Amino acid sequence: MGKKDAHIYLDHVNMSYPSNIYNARTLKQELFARMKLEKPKPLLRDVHALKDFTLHAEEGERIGVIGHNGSGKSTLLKTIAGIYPVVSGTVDVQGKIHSLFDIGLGFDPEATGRDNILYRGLLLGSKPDEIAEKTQEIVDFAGLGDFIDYPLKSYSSGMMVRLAFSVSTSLTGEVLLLDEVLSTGDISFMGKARQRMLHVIDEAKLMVFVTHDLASMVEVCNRAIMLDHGQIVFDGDPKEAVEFYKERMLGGTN
Amino acid sequence: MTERIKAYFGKLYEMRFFIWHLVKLDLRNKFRRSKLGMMWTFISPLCLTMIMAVVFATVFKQDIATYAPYILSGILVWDILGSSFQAGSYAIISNQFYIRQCNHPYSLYTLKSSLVYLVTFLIAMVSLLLWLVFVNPIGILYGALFLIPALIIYFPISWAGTTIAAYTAAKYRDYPMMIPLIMQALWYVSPVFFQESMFESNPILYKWFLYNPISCILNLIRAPFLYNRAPALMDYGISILFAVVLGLWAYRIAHKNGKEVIFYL
Repeated sequence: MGKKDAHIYLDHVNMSYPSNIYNARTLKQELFARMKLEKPKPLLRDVHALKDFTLHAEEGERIGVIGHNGSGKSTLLKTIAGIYPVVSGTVDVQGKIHSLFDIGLGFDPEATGRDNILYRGLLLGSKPDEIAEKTQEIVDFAGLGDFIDYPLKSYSSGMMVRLAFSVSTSLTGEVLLLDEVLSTGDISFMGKARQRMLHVIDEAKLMVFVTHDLASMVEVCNRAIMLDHGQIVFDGDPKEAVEFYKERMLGGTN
Repeated sequence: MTERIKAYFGKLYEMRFFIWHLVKLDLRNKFRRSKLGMMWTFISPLCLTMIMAVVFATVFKQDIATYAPYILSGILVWDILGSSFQAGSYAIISNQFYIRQCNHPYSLYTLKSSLVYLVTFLIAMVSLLLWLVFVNPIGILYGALFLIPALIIYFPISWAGTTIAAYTAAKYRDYPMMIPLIMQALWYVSPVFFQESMFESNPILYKWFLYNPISCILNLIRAPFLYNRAPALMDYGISILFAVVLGLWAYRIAHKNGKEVIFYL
């Protein structure tokens, strides 16, 4: 049996951030509220981040996801990645996922840049010998020179970003999930970072790209969806999506 | 069901390099910039034993040469249990950056913590061996025979304990504050440093001593290393039963809270 094509099938997915966590009260708040010494905190409702959400993406598609802040774009990526659980509906993803979000998190400040390359590679599912083969290329690309053998805590934030970007983009996957990572770092790094990112996108069989950078979205995507309050309000050509987005945002329809 | 379990453990196996890396990182970070480094793992229980042995041998009129290894073995085994239920609280919380980025099974992080406790236990056992070289060298031979079966029981107990602690602490932040008190109370009613004879004065305490699973867990190491004999079948039976009950409890907690725990991080 041949290998199945990469795909993402989300059918009638509902995803909520449960309110019981935000509504939890300390014993002091509980007692004071009962004794009427303190006004009880107003109860928050569940944040319904994806509502009856259906999206089918097939191999070869490069989907740009746009929408205002809080419309559910990042939640969508993390739901596809399997990081967030769904309340109902089905999530079916075929293909090895390569997620590029929060790439700067989880580095060990006490370890050297070189060690962190190994750690990050292992986290992303690579084997030590595979990482060893790529290490020199990552070091060269990050352009950190001798700093690569210094502990990470001696790095500037820009150097950290370069290292994180270089490691994360040295690996490829079939289903690429991107959150605003198209170019990064200072002006000298930005150009080559963009080229490298375009290469990673090329290698992927399917991509979902969350962004506010509409020009980049039009450049790299062949389909776009716009989200509003956890629902798709536009699905089609990227250029038309941008027009729709601008019209809706400037028109104030929310 | 079998397929799901196979897939789950398959995923853990796939991530074996990452798990082992986390274990090494944990041990390295613990002793970073320390002059004695990993040696503290066995120096610390050895020194604590010396202090306790001198104090308690004086108070309870015990022979220090035999009482000290009794205390030391108690401390070493207790450390696995204590670490699992206490330090294990942070197994999920402290790895939240990884959890937010990659969809790996959460048990990867609890497994890593229990492996750290097991490795620490094995290194710390050097202190007991050093002591036995002088007071009971035959015990080292008996111990070598029965160490592996003991580890096979200790490890699932530690993993289950860490899982229970990690999920509970992620949801209820009072847990890490509360559990040291419970463990301290358990320490006092278990034969970690009190000997059997010290429980005999009170029939209820003595009954508790006999059937306390911690007594049996301790005996898996003490019987061969200190008394040159195999652990009793009852010790194995109760220890295995304890591991199974704890394992089922851990499975239930992990299954029930599953992915939802990410919202608590």
